[in-house]
Amino acid sequence: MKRFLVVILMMTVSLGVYSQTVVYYDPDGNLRRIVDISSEGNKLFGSIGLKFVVTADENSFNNALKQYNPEYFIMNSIIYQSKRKDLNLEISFIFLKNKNYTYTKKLVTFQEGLTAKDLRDKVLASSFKDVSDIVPIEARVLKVPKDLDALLAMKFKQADVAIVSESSIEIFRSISPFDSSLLKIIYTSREIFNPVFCYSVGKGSPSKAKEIERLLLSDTAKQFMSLLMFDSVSSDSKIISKMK
Amino acid sequence: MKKIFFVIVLKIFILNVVCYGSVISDIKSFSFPNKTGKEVLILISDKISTFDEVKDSIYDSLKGYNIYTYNFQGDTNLMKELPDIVSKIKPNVVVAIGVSVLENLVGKVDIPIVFTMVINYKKFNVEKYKNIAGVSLQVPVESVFFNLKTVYPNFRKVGVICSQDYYNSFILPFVDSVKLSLEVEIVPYIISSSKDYISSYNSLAKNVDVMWMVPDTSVLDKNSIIYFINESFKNSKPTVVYSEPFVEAGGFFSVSPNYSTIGSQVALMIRRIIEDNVSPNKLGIAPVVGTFTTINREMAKKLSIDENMLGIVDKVVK
Repeated sequence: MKRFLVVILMMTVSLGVYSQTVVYYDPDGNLRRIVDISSEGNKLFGSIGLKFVVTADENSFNNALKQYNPEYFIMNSIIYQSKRKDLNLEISFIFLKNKNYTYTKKLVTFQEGLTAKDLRDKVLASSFKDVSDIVPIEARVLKVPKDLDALLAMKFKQADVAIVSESSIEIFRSISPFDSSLLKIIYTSREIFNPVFCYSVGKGSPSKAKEIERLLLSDTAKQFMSLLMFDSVSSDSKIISKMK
Repeated sequence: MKKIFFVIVLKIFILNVVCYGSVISDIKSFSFPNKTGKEVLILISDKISTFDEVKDSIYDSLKGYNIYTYNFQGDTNLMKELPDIVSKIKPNVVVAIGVSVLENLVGKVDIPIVFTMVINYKKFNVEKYKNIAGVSLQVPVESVFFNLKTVYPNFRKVGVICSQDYYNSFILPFVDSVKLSLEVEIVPYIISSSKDYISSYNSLAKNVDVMWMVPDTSVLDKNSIIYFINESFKNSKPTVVYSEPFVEAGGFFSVSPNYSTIGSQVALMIRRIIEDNVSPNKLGIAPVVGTFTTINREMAKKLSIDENMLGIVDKVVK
């Protein structure tokens, strides 16, 4: 009987019929390498019988929720804060880069003399719908799919300021040195927690999450971690408790 | 039995009110309950998924507003009654989604109108009316080539075949800014008939790095489109096309609007009109700022683009 169950289990994994899913969503992630993240992630998580689904924006994330009813998530910490109640999420661990567990975003503008203090009634372009967690300013939010759209929204005078990641500013600089020379950073966000791995309580299991943590710390996961632009993970309760 | 009935009623309520916002069942007898000065009437000309995407995004962006929606589902006779209907309902702003709603309102009501999802809005001379603002479906030229540069950075000359009218209206105003910002030169080949399209393609393509197909119907016909796509694919000439299906057919790259961002832009215009008392014509017709990019993998391979670079594109076909 036991042997029969093992055969069934092996067949399920080899046929790619995964019973559980990990969904990845990080608007500030390494979007340039999303294809690789998907392919490496599927190899990695497939080895322990999990399907890995990469989503690039809020729309595809919501579609993945409907389609896969996922048990596990790798998600941006701001998204985690907004979804934790609805999805009944519990953090297992956080991603680290050079032992750091936070990063910042930049508030930028093309306008002369504009400061972060006088943004009331101004339009702020952002790839996040709710920016109150990122910058303590009152502004009207223009929701765009990508940071690069946020930067261009200012150029086309549809936004006064934009909140973007440093890597997006770098891409902008490489494409348009002229425009980026006019760009002014007027505020650096508070420290934002790196993406987290979490599970949906009642659907995912803490022990499986622990297994995934060990997997991500192993040599097997090096390529995947480097694609995500992180080098380690931590379940240190001192860090995790700061996010609750 | 009662329990089943209750569940069905509850489901219908949830579907209509929670998921789809406030939907009007009979537009002719509708009036806003409990007016607060923030009443928005969204009128949709037909049942099209992208129209709903815009509408959902408006709901999402406007908290604290009384928003009601009516979808005409293509009922042109009922749409003809729009001026009377809207004047009776008296919303603070009407959102017109789709051409048929807009054409039945332009010049016929004084209530502020914000329109979108109308391709050729210029034929209605919307700019001459003080009560009209809108978000166009046109992705700015600069945005098109900015997006292309994220995946295919090394091009300098872009060839485009079009009529003089199209060039003057849609390309010329952006030539200098594209040159200044992106160091890209747009090289036009002006023709007056689709008969000259193929020969002009052959002359132009060899002198530029990228060929750009624009929706100038005065010179572009079915044969020109087929030739443009097939010839470019055969000769590995990178192309920018104006619609995703052309990428599927063999075109290299397209940039389309992101409809959710259009909704967010419309919502901001509504706030400017209602909360800041700004006249709609001062807001004008805004370009769409959210983009959706599509690339053809086979063509990308022909152009030796690293597969890893495709990750920045929203959709990879083939």
